[in-house]
Amino acid sequence: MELTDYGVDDMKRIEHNVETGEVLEIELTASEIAEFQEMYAETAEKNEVARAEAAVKEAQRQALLDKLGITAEEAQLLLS
Amino acid sequence: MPITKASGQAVAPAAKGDLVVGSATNDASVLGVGSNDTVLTADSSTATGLKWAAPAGGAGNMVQIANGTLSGASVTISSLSTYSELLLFIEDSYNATANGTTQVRINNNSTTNYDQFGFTISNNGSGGANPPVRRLLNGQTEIEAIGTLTQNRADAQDFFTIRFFNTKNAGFTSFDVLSYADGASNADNEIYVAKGIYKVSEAVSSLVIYQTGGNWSGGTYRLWGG
Repeated sequence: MELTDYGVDDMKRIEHNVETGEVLEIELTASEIAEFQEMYAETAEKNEVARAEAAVKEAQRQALLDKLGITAEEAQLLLS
Repeated sequence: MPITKASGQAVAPAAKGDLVVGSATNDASVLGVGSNDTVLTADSSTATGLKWAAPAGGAGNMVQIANGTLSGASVTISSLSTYSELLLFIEDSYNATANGTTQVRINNNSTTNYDQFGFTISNNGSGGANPPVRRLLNGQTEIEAIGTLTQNRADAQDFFTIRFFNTKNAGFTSFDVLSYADGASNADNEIYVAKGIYKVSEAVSSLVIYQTGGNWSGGTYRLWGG
C-alpha cells in the first residue's frame, strides 16, 4: 500500500513538552513509518474481516426472513 | 544586604528573588530564585534543604498542563514525571482514512504490560439497545481508549477521558477509561467503561496517543496534572 493510503503522507508526529511548553512537529523515522504502516494495514485487514462477517450475517438473516415469509419489522414484532 | 555567618563570612543574595537560607547549624547559603510559577519545596537531599519546583497539586487540585490539536501520526505529551496523577481528555478525534480506534501508550511502551477490564453498552445500527458486553483485555500492548466501535468520519468521533493514578512513584500505574464513540451509522454509538493497570514499576514521563486507522484528521487533547 502507498503511504497516502493511510494518511501518513505528512510523516510527522507531534511532541508536546509540558515543562517547556514547546510543541514540535517531528519527522517520523523510517522504522516509525514502517510501524505505523503495519498497524494501519492490520486495522484495514480487521475492517475487511468485519465487513465480510457482517455481510454473511446479513445474508443469513435475509435468507431466514425469506424462508419464514415475513419482513424484518414483522420479525421485530414477534420478538418484542 | 550581606548577612554575616557565625564563621564571620558574609553571604548575600546575588539577584532579585534570591534567598539566604540555613544550610547547616550556624551556616547559611544563597538559594537562587526559581523559574516563574515554581514554588519553594522542602527537599532534604539538597544543600539548603529547599528547592524550587512546579506545584504538584494533589487530588482535586489538578492544573491543565497541555492542550492542542491532534494531527500527524501520533501526539506525544512529555515531561510528566513530576505529576502524581494525570487526567487526559480527548474530544472529537477521528481520522478520515479508514475505520480505526484510539489508543494510548505510557512511555511509548509497546510490550504486553497493559491489563484492562470493562464493559461496553451500545446501540445497534437500527438504534436498538444491545446488552452490555464484557471486555477483558489481558496483556495488551496499549490502552484501549475506545470500546469496540471504529469510525473514520468527521461526524463520527471519539470522546474519552483517562485518569492515571500513581504516575510519579515506583509501583504500577492504574487508570480509568470512560469513552463515548460514534460509529459508522448515526444510530450506532457506544459507551465504554474500564479499569486498567500498567504493569511496569516506573514513573510516567510521557503519553503517546494515536489512531489505528490513519493519521489524525481532527480532534483536540487536554491534559491535567496534579
